[in-house]
Amino acid sequence: MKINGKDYDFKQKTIDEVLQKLDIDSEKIVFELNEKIISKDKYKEIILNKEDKIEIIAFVGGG
Amino acid sequence: MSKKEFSKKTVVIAGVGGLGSNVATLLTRMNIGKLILIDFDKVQKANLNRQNYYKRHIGMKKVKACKEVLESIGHDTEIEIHDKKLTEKNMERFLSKGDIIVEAFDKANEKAKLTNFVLNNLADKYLVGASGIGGFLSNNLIKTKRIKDKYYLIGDSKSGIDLGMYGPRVNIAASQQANTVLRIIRKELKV
Repeated sequence: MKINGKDYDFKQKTIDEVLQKLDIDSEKIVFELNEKIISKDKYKEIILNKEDKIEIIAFVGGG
Repeated sequence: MSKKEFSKKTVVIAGVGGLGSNVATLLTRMNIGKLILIDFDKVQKANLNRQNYYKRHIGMKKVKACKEVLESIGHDTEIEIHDKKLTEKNMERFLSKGDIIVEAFDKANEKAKLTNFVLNNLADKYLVGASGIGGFLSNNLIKTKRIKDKYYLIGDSKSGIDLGMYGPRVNIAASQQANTVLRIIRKELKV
């Protein structure tokens, strides 16, 4: 799968598991799967596929 | 430039800290029709390095202080204020009142919450957010990106609150947010 343009070969992993592997805080992101925004309550349900294109917008604090 | 173009529009500003208080000032100076300001915080002395408040505002609710500053500019912009914390329960009610929403929060998780909510539930609205505006890094790292058709994100996406928050870079981002709002109204949607 492609995450922010980079190739990864995670197998049979949920969004939540992929985020943990990448050490990304699920509370601080927008997760886009094949150009569709995924709401946070689905992170534990959706299993990602090899062909998936993923964009993760990770926010940093300060304003 | 016609004043009319801007005077018909309503902009919701979520958070009137370093970003929001400055975006609000810029948009008022440009005679935007109406601003809806939402924040639950009070002005503190430490805010005065970047937020558009003055000594006399310390201890005041930010939305009240902001309204006072904006009205003292002497233009016709209507200012509606809400001393409230935005949650997933009230976001729809407050955010749907604007043509354009400015995300001007401080905390990363609050930025994420609002952005997810708008992209999932208010997809017809324009959203102009910011992330990565801390420290004294190069001016030129702060960019306006068009992430989706109606979602713009401003910042360098990296430099956070751990680097300290200072007026100059926060204002670079606030100015880019304000100009993005005006460009959207003028239908100049490319970055």
